[in-house]
Amino acid sequence: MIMTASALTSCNKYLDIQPVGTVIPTSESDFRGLMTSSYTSFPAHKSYLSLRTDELLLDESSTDAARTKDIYLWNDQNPDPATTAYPYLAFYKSIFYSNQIISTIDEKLSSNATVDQIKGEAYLMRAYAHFELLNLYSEVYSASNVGLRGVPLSTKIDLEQRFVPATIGDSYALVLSDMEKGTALLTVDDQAKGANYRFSKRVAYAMASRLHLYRGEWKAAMEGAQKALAINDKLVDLNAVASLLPNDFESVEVIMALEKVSIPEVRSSSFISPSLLSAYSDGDLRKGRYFQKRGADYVSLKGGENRFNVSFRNADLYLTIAECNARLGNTAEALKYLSALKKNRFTADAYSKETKADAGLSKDQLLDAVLLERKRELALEGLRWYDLKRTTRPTITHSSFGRTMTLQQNDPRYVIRYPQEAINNNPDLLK
Amino acid sequence: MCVQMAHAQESKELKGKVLDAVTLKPVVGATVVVESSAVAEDIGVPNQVQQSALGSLTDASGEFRLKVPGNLKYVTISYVGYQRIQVPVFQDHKTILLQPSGESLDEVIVTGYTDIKKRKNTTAYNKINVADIKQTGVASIDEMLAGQVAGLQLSNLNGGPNSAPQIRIRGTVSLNGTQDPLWVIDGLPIEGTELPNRIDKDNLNSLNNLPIAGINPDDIADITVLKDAAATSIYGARAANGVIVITTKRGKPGPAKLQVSANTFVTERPDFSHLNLMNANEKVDFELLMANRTDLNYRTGKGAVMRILDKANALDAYRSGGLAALSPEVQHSINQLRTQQTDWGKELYRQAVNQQYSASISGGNDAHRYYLSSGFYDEKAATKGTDLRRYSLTLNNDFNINDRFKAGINLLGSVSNRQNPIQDDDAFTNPSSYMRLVNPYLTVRDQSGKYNYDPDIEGYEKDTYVPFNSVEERENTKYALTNKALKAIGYLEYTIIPQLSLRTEFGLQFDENSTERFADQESYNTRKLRAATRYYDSATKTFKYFLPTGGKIENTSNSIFQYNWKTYLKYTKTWNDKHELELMGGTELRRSTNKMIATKGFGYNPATLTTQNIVFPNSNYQDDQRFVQYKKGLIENSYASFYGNATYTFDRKYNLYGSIRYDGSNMFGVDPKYRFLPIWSLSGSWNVLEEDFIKGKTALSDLRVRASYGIQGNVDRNTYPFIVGKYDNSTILPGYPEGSVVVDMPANDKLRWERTKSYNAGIDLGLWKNRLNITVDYYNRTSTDLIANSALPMENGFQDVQVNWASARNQGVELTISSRQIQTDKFSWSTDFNIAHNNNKLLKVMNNPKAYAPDTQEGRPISGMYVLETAGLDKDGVMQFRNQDGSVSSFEEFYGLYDPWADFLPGYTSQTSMTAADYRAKFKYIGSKDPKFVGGMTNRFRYANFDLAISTVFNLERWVNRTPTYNPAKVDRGQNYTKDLLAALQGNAALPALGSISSELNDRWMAYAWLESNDPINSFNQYDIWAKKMSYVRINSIRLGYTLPAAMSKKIGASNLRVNVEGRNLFVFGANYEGYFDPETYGSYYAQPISKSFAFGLSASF
Repeated sequence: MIMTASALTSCNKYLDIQPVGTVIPTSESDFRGLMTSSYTSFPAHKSYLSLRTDELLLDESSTDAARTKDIYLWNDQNPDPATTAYPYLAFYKSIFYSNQIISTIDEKLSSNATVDQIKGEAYLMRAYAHFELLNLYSEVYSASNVGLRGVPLSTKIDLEQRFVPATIGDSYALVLSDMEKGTALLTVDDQAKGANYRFSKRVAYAMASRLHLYRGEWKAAMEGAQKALAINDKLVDLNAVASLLPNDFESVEVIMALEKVSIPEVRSSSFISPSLLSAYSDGDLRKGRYFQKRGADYVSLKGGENRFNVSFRNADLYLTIAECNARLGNTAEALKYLSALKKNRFTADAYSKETKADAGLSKDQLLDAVLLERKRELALEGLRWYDLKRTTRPTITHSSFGRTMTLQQNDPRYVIRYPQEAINNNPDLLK
Repeated sequence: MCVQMAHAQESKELKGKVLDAVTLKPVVGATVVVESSAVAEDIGVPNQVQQSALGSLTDASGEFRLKVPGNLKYVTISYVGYQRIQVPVFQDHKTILLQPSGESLDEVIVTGYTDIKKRKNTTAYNKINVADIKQTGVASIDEMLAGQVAGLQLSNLNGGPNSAPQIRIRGTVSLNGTQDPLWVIDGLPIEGTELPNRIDKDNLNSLNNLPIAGINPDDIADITVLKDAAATSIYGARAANGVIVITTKRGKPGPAKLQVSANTFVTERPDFSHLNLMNANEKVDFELLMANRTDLNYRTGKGAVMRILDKANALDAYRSGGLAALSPEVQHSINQLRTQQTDWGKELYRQAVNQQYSASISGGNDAHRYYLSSGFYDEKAATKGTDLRRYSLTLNNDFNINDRFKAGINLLGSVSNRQNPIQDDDAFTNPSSYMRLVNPYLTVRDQSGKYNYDPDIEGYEKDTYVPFNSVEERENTKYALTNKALKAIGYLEYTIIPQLSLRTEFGLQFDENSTERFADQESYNTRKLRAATRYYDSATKTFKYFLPTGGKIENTSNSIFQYNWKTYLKYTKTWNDKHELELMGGTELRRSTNKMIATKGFGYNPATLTTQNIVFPNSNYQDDQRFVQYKKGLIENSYASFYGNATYTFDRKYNLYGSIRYDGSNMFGVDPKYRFLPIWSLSGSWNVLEEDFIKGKTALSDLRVRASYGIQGNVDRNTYPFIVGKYDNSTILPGYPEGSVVVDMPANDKLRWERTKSYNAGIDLGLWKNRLNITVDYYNRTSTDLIANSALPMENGFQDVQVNWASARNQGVELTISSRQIQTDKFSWSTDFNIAHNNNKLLKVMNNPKAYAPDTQEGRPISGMYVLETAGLDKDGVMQFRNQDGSVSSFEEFYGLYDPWADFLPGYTSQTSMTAADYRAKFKYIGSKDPKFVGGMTNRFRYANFDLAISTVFNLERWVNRTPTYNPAKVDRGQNYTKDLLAALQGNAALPALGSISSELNDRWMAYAWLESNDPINSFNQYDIWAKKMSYVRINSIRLGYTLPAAMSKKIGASNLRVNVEGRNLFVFGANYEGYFDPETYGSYYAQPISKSFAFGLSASF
C-alpha cells in the first residue's frame, strides 16, 4: 500500500503537463487578457442596423447581398437560411468574460489602480452589453413600458441557471447599478490613442448620457454629456487641411473606438440611399468626406476597416445637449451646441447661412433641425436605427430583387425578434 | 551434484508412436526432446560429467525410442505444422496425437502482455491467421477483417485506397469519445488511429494516414481481436471499444528461406448505369418541359435550353407555340444539345492497372532468429486523381542470449504517398457528386481546346461567377500526403527463477505526415479565394483583389512521437499437479507528443517555387484564418498505469481470471485524486470435458463454458472543471496588437466518468476431434453517464457544453462456426462462418426540449431512424401524411402552416403553429441505422494442386436514408437528375409535383415554401419514402491458386511456386440500390465507388 502511494505521487509529477499556451487566469496581465477578449467578442450589430434604416440601398449584384438581403427587408420572422443572424451570443460572450473577472479578480489579486480599472471596465462592459441588447430586442424605456419584456440578465457563471427575460424595468435597473459600480472603480479618466477602445471615466459619462437620452431623461442625459466634455470637448474641424474623419480612432473627438459600425459585408453590399444623400446641403463638408461616387451610385468611406471603429464621440454629446435643451425649451443653449458642431462641419459661407436660418426656428423646428443634424453627423454609425425607434418610428420602404417591402409607421419590427438560434437554445425567451 | 548424478543414473527408455490428431496418420520426423537442452551424464571419470542432448526423431511409421533420466517429468514433441506438446513421462508404449497448428487446445491468446493458453481461456476473443484472409489489391489489413470476426462491424464509407473503413466492435459505448478499437502492434499500442466519429462529405476527402495502413499485410502473422471486458481490461480506458492485436511474422529456426510474391491487379471503372441519370436527349426534353412551366420561378435562367431561348428572346414564342414556333436556328441549337453526349464517367473515372510486390527472408537458429522483408504497393483508384503508393520494410530479430536472457527488436518502417483530388465546401467539387450534377451535354473543352466552364453550378449569379471545370480542377490542383513511419519495439526478458520472470518492452512510434495542397492560378479553388479578397479601393474607385497573382500552396506537417515503456513480472506455479497459478503485475509509462505546423503561400509559381506576400488593404483581414501563413500546435500527453492479473486453474477444469488496471493521465486542472480510474474484470471458465463423468465418452473434443464481468470507463479530457484560457493575440485598433486570454469552452465541474459494465457468457464447442468448432457468445454492455454535447442557452456565452447525457445498453449474440467437412489427400473443403447481432438501446436520455427532430429517444437505438409517414399525393401532387391515429392530413394541415401576416402582407411569409414537441411527436420510429446482422462466410477448397477460396460478407437489415432525387420546390433545371424527374414532369402522378413558393404563381405556396426553406429541419429528407431497409451479401473475393508440382518448381530452384488469380467485389446481391453505385454506400452522393478488380499473382519460396 505504501509503495503504491509513493508510486502514485511520483506519477503525479510525470503526469503534470500544462498544455502549452493554456492558463488559469491569476495575474494582472491574465485578467487584462480576459478583458481584451471581452472587447474583441463584442459584436458588430450596428453595421447590420444601418441596413434597416433609411440610410442604405442594397446592392443586388454584390456577393454579400444573399446574406444581408433579409435584414434589409426586415424579414426577421422567416429569413433565408443564408442570412446573417443578428448578433446575440457575442453580447453574452462579452458578458461572460466580464462576469469571470468580476467574480474572481478579488480572490486572486488585491486591489490597486490597475486591478480596480479592470474590474470597473468589466462592470461597464456588462452594463453596455445589456444596454445594447435592450436597444435591439426590447421596447424603449418609458414609464408605461417598464413591465414589458426586457432581456435575459446574466450576472453570474452557472450553467444550470435559467435565463428568463427580465422586465424592462429590472433590466435597466441592472444596467444602471453596474454603471454606477463600474464608474466608481475606474481609475483612468481618458484612454490613450490605441487603448481608446477601453472604458474610461470619459466613456462612462458618455454612456450614461446616451442611456438617459434613450430613456427620455433629458436632464440626466445633459449632465453625463457635460461631465464627459469637461474632460475633452474637442471637435474635428473638417475645414482644416488633412483633417481626419471624425470617427477615425486617432481623431481628437473619439471617446471610445470599440465597435465596427460598417463591416465589409454590409459596406460592399450597399449604396448610400438618396434620402441620406439629400440630407446634406451645399457647403456641408461631410458629404464629400463620408461618401464617394462610384458609377451612378454613392458608396461609404466611413467604414470597412478597424480604423473607423466608433462607439462614442464628442459630436454625439454636442447633439445630445442640443436635443435635450431643445426639448426642455432652452433654445439658446440648444443653438449654441448645434452651431458649435456646424462650425466644424460646414464651409465658412455655408455655416453663416446655417446659423442665420437656425436662429429663426421655432422650438419644434429646432428639435427637428437637431435630429436632422444627428442623421447627417452620425450617418452609418449604427445610431440611426435607435434614433428612429425612440422618436417617430416612420414608414420606410425597401426594394430588392423585385420585391418591395414596407416597414409601417410604428411597425412591430422596430423591436427586433430574438434570433431563431437563440430561441432554439433557450425556449424561455418566448415567455 | 551427487544427488543429481545419482538420479541421472536411474534412466529409463520411452517408447511411443506419434500420429496426426485429425487424420490419425503417422507423423514422420517429429522431434521428441527433453526440454532442458542438456543433461549431465556420469561417464565414470571422477568429477567429470558429459553434457549430452537428449532427443530422438520418429521413423516412417511414427515410432520413436528415447532414453531419459528417471527423474524426468515431461518430454516435448514437436513437428512443423503441428502444435508443440508436452507429454508426462509414461510407462510402456503410448500413442501421442499431434494437433495441427491453429486448431489446438494449446493455441495461445495474444494479449500484448502475457499470452494466455487457450485451455485457460475465460474471455471472448477471435484469432485470425492472416494467410487465411489475404486479398490482393487491399492496401491495409483493417479492410481484410470485413466479415471475418463475429461482432466486428466494418463499414466502407468510401471506396478507393485512401479511405479507411470504420470499425466497431460490439456496438458503440461512447458518444463523444473515440469509438474506434485500440490497435496494438507487437505489444505497442498505436497512437493516431482514430477516425472522426461522423464522416460526411467534408472529411471524406481529407487524406489521413492511419498508422495501421503503413504495415504491409504480408508481414503480419496473425490478428487477435479482444472483445469482452475480461480480455480488454488489461489495456485500461483506451480499450473500451475492443482491442485488435497484430503479431508480425518472426523467424523460425532453420535455413534461410526466401519468399517472393508479385501481383498485378486491374481496377474497373464503375458501372454508371446504376445511377439512372438522364442522358443528353432526356435532359433537353426535361429542360423544354421546365421552360413551359410558367408557375416555377426557381433558378429559371439555368440550363442550356433556357439560355438559347433567352438569347433568341423566344421563350414566349415557345410557350405559346411549342418547338414549331421557334426559328430553325434556335431549333437547330436545341437539337444540337441532344447529340452532345459527354461521357462524364470516362472523364472522371478510369480503369487502372496496379501492382504489389513483396519479398522476405527468414530463418535462424536457437540463439538468433530473424525475419526481414520489404514490400511495394501501388494502387490507382477508379476515380482519377486518387492514388496510393507504399514502400515498406520490416526487420524482426529474436535472441536467446542464454538460458535466462531473451531479447528482441522489431523495426517496421514505411513510406506512403497518397493523392486525392482537391475539394472544398461546394458539393460539385467532389467528383462523385459532380458526376450526378453535371449536364450530359456539357463538353469538357470547346473546339479550340479551351476548358468549358460549367455555367450552371450553384453560385453562378451575375458578376460573382467563379468558373469551374472539373477536369481543369483535377489537372491544375494537387492534394498529396506523404507519411514516413517507423515503429520500433525492443524487449528483454530475464528469467529470475524458472517460475519468475521479468520482461520489459520499450516501443517507439514515429509518424511524420506532411500534406501539400496546391491549386494553380487557373483553378476554381484559387479563383474562389481570389473572389473573397475583393475590396473597394477608394483611390481608383474600383474593386480590387488583394490575392497575389499565381497559385495557392498549403503545407502541413504533423509529427507524432510516442514512447511506451512497460515492465512486468510474471510468476507461474504448479503444485500437486492440480493447482496452476499465474500472476502478472507491472507498470506502463507512455508519453506522446503531437506537433502540427501549417503554412500557406500565395501567389505561388510552381515553376520557380516562389511565393509573394499578401498586402492587406487594411488591418481587418489580418486575423482572417484563410490568410494566416504560419500556425503551430503542440499536444503533449502522458500516461502512467499500474496493472496486474491472476489466473488460477484447478485440476485443468476450472479457470479463474482477474485483471485490474489503474490508468492515470495528465488532466490539466483536475484534482490528482480523480486522475486515476480503476478498470477491472473478473472471469471464469469450466472445461467440461475434463470432468471424469464425461471424459472420453462423447464425440465432443472440446466443451468450455465461460463468463466474465468487468468495468470500463472513459472521461472527456477536454472539459475543465474550472475556467481555463488560452493565450491569443488580437488587434482591435490598427497598429495596437494586444495579448488576450480566450476561453473556448465553458467549465463544467459536474462532469463524471463514463462507465460501462460488461457481462459476457460463452460456450466453446469442439466436435469430432475439433473438425467442427462452434463458439457462441452473449454479451451485455450497459454504459451510464455517457458524455455528449448539449445545447446551452446562449446567455451563458457558449452554445453548448459537455454533459453526462445518457445511458445506453448494447447486447448481442455472436456465433462462429468453423468446420473442415472434407479432408482427404486429394480434396478438402472447409468453411468458416460467423454472424453477430447487436442490439443497442438508449436507457436514459437527457432530452433536448427544443429539438424538432426526435434523434434520440429512450428505449430506441442510438442511431434510430425516425420518419414522417406519408400517405400518397393529393390532386395537386403535394404530399399527404398519415397521422398517428391513422387519419390522413394534407401537407398544410400536417405541418400546421398559416400566413402570420395575412392581414397586412399576405403571401409574404408562412409559419407553423407546431411547437417543437408537436413536431417531434409527428415522427415515427421505424428501425435502426445499424445492421441487425453482420457476418461473413469463407469457403476454401483444395483439389490436388489447386486451391480456391471464396469469401463473402453480409450486412442485413440496416435502415438507410437515401438522398431524395429531387425537392419539388427546388428543382434546379441547370443540373442533371435521375430519370424520375423527367417522368414526374411528363405527368407520372405517382411522383411529387413541382411547384413554386410564390403565392402569385401557386395556391399551395405555403407547402412549397415549407419544403424550400421554412422547415427548420428540412424534414423532406425524412419522409418514409426515402427510408429503405438495406441488406446485402457481397462476394468480396474469389481466389484461385495453383501450386506447381515440386518437380517443376525445383527446375528454377524454388521449393514452392504458386500462381493465383483473384476477383474482388465481383458480385453484390442486395435490395434494389438503383441510383447508387453500391448497396454499401447507398444514400451517399459523395462516396467514391467501391470498385471491382481482377488480380493475377505469382509467389515463390526458395
